[in-house]
Amino acid sequence: MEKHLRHHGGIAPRREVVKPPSLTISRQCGAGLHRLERPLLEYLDNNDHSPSQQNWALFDQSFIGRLIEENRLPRDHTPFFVEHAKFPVDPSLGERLNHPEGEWTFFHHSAAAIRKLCARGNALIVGRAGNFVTVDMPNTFHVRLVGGKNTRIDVAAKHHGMSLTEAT
Amino acid sequence: MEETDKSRARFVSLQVCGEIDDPGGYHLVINTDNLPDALIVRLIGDALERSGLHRAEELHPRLFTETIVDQEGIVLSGEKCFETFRVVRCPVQHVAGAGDFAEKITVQDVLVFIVIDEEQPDRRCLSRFCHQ
Repeated sequence: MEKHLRHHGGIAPRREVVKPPSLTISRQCGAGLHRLERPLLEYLDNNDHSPSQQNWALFDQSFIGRLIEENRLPRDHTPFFVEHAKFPVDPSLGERLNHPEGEWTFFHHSAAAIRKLCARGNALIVGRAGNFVTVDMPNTFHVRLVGGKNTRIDVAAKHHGMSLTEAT
Repeated sequence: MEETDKSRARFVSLQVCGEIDDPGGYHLVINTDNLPDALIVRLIGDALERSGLHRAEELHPRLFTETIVDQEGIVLSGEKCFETFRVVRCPVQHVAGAGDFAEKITVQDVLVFIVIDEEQPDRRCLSRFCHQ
């Protein structure tokens, strides 16, 4: 039927299964991500137009570490394709992320975990060079939060209960 | 604070040979000074939504005014009238894979999601049908 319609209608149909998106956030210290995490997850859940039924979830360094330790990650491995990178990266990144599993360091486990979580979609990854290790994944969106030095010192001091000097 | 930022920059440099402060590595860089949290949240959420990550890419333009046919020969007839795309018929022959199967077709500014529940294979529906 497709051939028929192609022939008669000149149609060149293309359909792709679109993965739900994921988000990586890199931040300067004191840029205020701790205030934004919960409202951002709520906003993403409330405005999610992807076909996914799962809620958004935040994964930071400690949570990713726990998932690795407890072996609670999907088993499917997503190979890294440097030629699919959304922005220029060092060519060695491909070798690094496709390193043989038997020789992995914690970084490799962490990167693999981030890629698995992002591949499933609706994952908000904080830090861990998330934008680099998922640079080839078309469903990932990368954000960086920055701020002026004095404002960030204020925020960090309040958040950690330190003096301004200590926070600097 | 300075030490934390240096440590993160070192991590990125060492592990992925990248520069953490290079704006080219991000879709969106936000200076959070003097912006309300609600606005920052909305900037990120809306940028993600409008980034096109929710859409299939490079659909053939003629698709918009013709009939949609998928690889399995399922026909979705539709007609495009300015911003309105009307689905006339849902697929009935698709065999779902493991678990829930969801697909999304983007037709210019209109999204159509087809959801097939494997446990109830006869229940196929257009879960969402909305304008971008």
